[in-house]
Amino acid sequence: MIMKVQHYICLILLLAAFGCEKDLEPTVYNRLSTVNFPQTVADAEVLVNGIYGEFRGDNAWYRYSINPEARLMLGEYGTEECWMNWEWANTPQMNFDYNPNYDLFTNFYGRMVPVVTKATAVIAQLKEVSFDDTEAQNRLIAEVKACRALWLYDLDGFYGQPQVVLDPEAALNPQQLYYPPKLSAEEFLAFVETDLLEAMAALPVQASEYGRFTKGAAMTILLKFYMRYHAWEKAANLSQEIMNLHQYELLDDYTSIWSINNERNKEIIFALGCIAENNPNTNLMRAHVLPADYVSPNGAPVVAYSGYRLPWSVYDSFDDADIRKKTMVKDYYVRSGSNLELVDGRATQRLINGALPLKYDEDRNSDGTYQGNDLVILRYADVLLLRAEALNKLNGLNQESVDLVNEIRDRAFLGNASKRIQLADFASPDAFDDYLLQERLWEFCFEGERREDLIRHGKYISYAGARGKNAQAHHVRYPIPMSAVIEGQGNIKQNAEY
Amino acid sequence: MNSGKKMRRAFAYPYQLFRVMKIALFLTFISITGLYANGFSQQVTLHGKKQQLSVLVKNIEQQTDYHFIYDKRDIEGIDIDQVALEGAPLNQALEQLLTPAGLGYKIVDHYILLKPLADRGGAMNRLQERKIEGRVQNSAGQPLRGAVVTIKGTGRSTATGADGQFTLQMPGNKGQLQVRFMGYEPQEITLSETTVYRITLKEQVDALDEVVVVGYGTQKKADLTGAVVSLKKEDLTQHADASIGQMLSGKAPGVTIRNTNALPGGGVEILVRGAASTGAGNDPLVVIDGFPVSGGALEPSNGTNDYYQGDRSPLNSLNPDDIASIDIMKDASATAIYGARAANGVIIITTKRGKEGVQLNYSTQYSNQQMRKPFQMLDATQFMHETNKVIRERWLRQYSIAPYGNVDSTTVTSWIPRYSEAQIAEAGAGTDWWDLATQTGHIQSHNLSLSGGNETVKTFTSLGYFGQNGVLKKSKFERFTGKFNLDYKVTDFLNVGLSALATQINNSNVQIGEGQWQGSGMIMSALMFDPTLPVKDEEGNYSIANYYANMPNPVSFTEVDDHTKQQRFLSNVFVEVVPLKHLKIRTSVGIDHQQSERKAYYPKTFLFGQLRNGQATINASGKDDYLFDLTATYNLTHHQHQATFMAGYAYQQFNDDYRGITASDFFTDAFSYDNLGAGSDRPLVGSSRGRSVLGSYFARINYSFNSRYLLTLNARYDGSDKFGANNKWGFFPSAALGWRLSEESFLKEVRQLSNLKLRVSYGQTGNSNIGSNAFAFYDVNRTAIFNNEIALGATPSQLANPDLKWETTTEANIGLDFGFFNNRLTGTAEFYDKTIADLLGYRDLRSWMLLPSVAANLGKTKSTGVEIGITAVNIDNKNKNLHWSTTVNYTSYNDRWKERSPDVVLSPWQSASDPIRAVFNYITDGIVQPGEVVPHMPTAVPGNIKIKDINGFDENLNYTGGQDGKIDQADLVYIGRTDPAFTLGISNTLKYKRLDLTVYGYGMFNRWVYNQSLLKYVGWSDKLWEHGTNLRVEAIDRWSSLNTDGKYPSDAPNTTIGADAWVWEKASFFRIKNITLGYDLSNRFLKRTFKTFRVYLDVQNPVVFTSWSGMDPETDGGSIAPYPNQVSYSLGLNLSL
Repeated sequence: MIMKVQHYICLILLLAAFGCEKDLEPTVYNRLSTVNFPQTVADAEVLVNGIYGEFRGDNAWYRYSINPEARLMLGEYGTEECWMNWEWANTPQMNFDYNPNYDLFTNFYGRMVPVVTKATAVIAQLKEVSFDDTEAQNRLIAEVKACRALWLYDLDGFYGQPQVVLDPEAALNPQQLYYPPKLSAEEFLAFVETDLLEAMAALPVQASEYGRFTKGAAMTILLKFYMRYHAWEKAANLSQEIMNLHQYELLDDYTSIWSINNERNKEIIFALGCIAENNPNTNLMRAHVLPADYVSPNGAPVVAYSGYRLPWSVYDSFDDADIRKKTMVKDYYVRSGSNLELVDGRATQRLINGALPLKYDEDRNSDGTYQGNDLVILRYADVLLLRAEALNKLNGLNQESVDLVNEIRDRAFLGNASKRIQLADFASPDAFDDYLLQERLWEFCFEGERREDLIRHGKYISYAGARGKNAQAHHVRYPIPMSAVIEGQGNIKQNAEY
Repeated sequence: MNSGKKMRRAFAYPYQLFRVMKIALFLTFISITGLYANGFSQQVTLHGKKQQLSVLVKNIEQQTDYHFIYDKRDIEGIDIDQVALEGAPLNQALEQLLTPAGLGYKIVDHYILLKPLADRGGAMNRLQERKIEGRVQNSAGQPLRGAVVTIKGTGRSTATGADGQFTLQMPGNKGQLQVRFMGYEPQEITLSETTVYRITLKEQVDALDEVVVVGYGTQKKADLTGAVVSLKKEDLTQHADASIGQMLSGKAPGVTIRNTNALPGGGVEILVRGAASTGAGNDPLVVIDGFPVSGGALEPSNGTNDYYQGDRSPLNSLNPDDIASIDIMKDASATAIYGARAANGVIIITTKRGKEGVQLNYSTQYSNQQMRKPFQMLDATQFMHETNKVIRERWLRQYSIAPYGNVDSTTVTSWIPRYSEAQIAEAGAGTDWWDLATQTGHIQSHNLSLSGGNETVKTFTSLGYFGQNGVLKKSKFERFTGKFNLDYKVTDFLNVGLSALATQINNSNVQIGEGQWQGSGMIMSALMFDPTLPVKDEEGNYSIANYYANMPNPVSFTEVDDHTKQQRFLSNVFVEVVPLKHLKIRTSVGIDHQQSERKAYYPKTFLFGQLRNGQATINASGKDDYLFDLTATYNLTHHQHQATFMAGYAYQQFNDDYRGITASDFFTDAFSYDNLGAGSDRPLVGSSRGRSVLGSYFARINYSFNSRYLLTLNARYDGSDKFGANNKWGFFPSAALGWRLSEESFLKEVRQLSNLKLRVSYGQTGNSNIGSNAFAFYDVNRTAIFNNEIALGATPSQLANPDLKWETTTEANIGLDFGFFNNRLTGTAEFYDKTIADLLGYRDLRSWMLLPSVAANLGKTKSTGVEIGITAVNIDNKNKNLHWSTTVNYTSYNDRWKERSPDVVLSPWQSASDPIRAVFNYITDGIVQPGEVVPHMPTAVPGNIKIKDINGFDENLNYTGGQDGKIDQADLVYIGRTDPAFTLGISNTLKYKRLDLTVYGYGMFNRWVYNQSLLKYVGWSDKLWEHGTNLRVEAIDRWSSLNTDGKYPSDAPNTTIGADAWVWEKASFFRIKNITLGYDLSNRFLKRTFKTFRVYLDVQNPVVFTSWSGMDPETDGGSIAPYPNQVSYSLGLNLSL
């Protein structure tokens, strides 16, 4: 009997033992498997949201943000507008020490180049998802193309025609060895032109949700490409088409374009939505600008990295009556015992290096770091001034260009007719062109446009030289990262002279 | 060295008595009135011609349950001409063999005592005889039957009876009583007028007889063929540390342990034989009472990336006092039984189990910890003075005034000092933030354990408490443990048992992370905060730096409520059946349930909370691992052949989950984290879940021939759901040979040699630690804002690799175990060579592709190493009761690349066989002086550090072989490794009578560490101006136009690549870890009550020998503000009843 019991126990143990692990198929609970994603229209929408999400990535810094490595400041380096109190960032940009190993100049490249690949892949994937409504499908594809075009515009501006993955086959096979070709300027422009024209055809004039690309936004990107590549005629025509959409107008109050209380205004063509949370989509401008002793008269929280300044020399170039000067702040409140005191930062040497570029106003819901003001990327004033520039290049001095500038100046001087310019003020188209460059400084001060403008006008290097800087011809391009050159094994070329 | 003489004497010790199978034990032969054993039915079969009697005796031992006890000299050289016994009864066989050789025998219990027939001892005078009597027992108080009691020098002996009692007639009043029992340390007692004695024998531990826990079984150390370090409880005395991790430093050759931070319960990095895996982790597998546990400590986050609590040891959930032994498997032969999880070594932790009898132990300890200021910061006067100097220097640079240019300083706006002379004059020392942030630490621990049982049921129960208030204010660690182990022999063929552990840890977290700016931790803030500020401003708010409002006030950290509660229930039940005489089938089922919950509240009085108007978070992580295993073990003994076969199956399932909520904007701080609904900001929520499965089949054969030649074969077949369809299963075999040279006749005569064993092993193990990375996924990890609402976006997050498979380590090991001079000098030396192939990791895709990398098997690394452990008994004077022993452990390893994946693009300065953790650095060349032009550093200004231009690249990135006039990566030079060249542990134990003294230290040598603290607190002197943050006093000696022979670079930024090259430093150190002085009072005046009553004093970390200029060469693993080791003073008591 006892023998039976022990054998019985053994048998149970042995039977229990084998095959617990079954077929070893993995169980995944909280990730999306490629087996069943993307398939539905809802999947496709989430995928496109992901592409929009790449403007900011997984954190609020870098890419289309405010910190020294991000889009806005890369559009300012080497220009007369830019001063940073952080010597580590200010010294190399002031001295044109654009070192290919210096993250300050190459970080944006490293982050945005693979994102272009992602967009290329998603465009191909969207074509595979079956939609009942092909119009919706085409719209989503067009949105992704518009995102990609804007990234290409900035990569091109900073680093020259970028070597990026535009071939869907290569984008969808990430493990193969693929070196993106170096396109000539013509090839590159042809590619983005085709892409944007397709996008423009599929995009709605008014977005279903604010923050998505519209036809006008895609047109504005193409306009800026045309201007960069001096395609004046195309630019002139396209700017007229944008105006003909009748979607945009200049806002009466210049200072409220960036206001938290005035989002979605008619002047904005494209903005990146921001919320006052520790979310990638947030606005860090004020934290980067405010001086450490700054106190909000409204009692709002303040985080002050005390970074960016508009040099006093540029500040002084503004007409005192110019409303635009008010966005560059000299006087602010500090704590004085238990009271607040308004001080002149310049006179008290609190602001040694320049005024505070504070176009984005205070968001009282913010914790000081993360503000909700949408980041304005494209605005209508730019279309008007670019049109003025294109017409001048195309036709020489002309009244329409002068009128376009005066639209801008009327707003800046609250309609004061004496501040208008006259055709007769200009001896030549070149003189008008130079004037436009100056007007653009006042209009787009510290919006990340200055470097592009100076380069387009051929003044980036010469202006720096006039300030005593050792700027050389090759500095119109930032270097691409050394790591990409090493990886490229001869297929990715460093920009000349770096 | 005078020990040579002592050793010769030791070796010449007259009692070279010798027992074959079991313990080396001295035993004089005695006349016994004891019982004849009833074992005469045992039968013996012996055949052969001309055999040594000693061999025949062994043969009989193997065939029967009996063991012989004899004086080696009595049977040496005796040959038996002819034997022919076939199933002869034992007594008949003995008579036939022994009588012709002039030997007699007696059987007591299971022992056969041999003695010459002729009585060699003389007759004794019978003078003044008196009777003495007594009882012999073990430390658990159980009677020892068959213990031999002798009156020294008289030849009078007896053996104790079943109740441990003995009586002897004693001549005269004075004498020495000797008591001996197999497996126990012999004891001598000076006889007095007392006639009744109670004698407690201590269990003897013989190195070769120790049982070592190997996977799924145990083995005698003498039979081991693998590289195993076995540490007993005595080796692991814990003092001011919460877990045993820290106490392993320098204790086990081949094991490199580094404290990663020293906060209460702080983390340790444990490496067995280096770290040659590059992508799949190098953590060894930890097996607790047969349960292979997974992963590190469960530490949910606190809802902010900014504040980090520091890593903690996953071993914290174990009470060190419950541990009986730790066995560390190092080579493939020892580890292969754990197959796919064993490549980084296996640490088997065995807890104490019940013994027969009753024993109660209690230990307690109180410690006091002092935090030494890691370095001196500028006081308020110095701070103001240095700030002004920086401002002046900046001004000189900004306007290009000499030495930075030739602008006339009178033509520019003059500089304004931040602090006036009057302010500086009255500043004094200012606020000592370090002092305000730290406190005296305290540790209190209590452990109570009860071991009890009889032949059928044995239990071990313990309760433990460990409480520590750290030296940083608010840092606290509190642990409650309960342990219950049960062994129940249900019938002859059925045993069941249980190992159960329940732990709760309550941590109070302080923020000590590596964050900067607003994320600065408490240590960093206490070092860097402006010394001119008061703790609170006039309105009672914590002061904030004027020029850098983003660093929390050091004292305000104490306002944060941040607690982690960790609970663990680890339980493993086994059933063992013996269906046949030599077959054992054992199955166990276990669960490891862990829950960890973090609750944090950042109040408005703390900067971070102020910005969010209060933020509360509750995050919880859980883990449930299930284990089922089944093994069958068969023992076979035939003549000189002895073999054990084991085969088994194991299934393990790993589950984890996470959930969390965060709310902010609270109208009051009063709720802390207990009312998240009161936060008016939208709560953030999240959750996740994961699972993986491992199924394994394994087998082992241990074979020994004549106790001299040993063979071990292992194989394991593992299946995991982590891998792609093509590679779910992996096979891991190993083989090992052992040769006990000291048992060979040609070495037996070498009396100096007590033990010599050569071991050779070769085998494979695996590493599967790469998560579910073989598959492609999209993650919902992007957000866009449309209409001011968050729109969730998905992006590809992982690429598939269906060919992904195990990382495989192939390892060869040669080991030598030795013992000289009667094992007064013992040791082990190991040499290994392992190659890790199919390295798990992430193959870098070209940076322009969709994702930066894909999980892949890449290339090979190679690790070689030497490990030596030596223990010497320098003094062992039994007469004077003096004992001194020294243990030295040496470990070195060299991890290198052997083969790179073909698609890896090496940077020009790299080579295919670099050390894995190679350091390439630029060579510094002093500081730029006024007027000096450094052509290869065009933007350099006076005060910048100079980098040597050594080499250049051509346009194809080939070296040009000479200076190219600029600094780029061509100028990088290999300088060394971040791994230590070797680690050393030295332990000295001195015992004099009841006094014991242990001095123990360890060190790491020749390792490079990036000295972040030098960079941050000396190098970044511009931060004095920019942020108003403080610096070390060393920063005074920085270069400036007023101090052109300064040691450190100036505050001027240096944008040349490699400008931080000067902070790489060697972090070699030797730390005296513990000095312990103990005294056992039990025999003095407490012997009737206590078996032991030991009090001790300990000082931990009193001295560190190092040239490192950071905080702590051990915890500064490249971090900015780690929690450094402290000096602790402890007073403790151990007692047992």
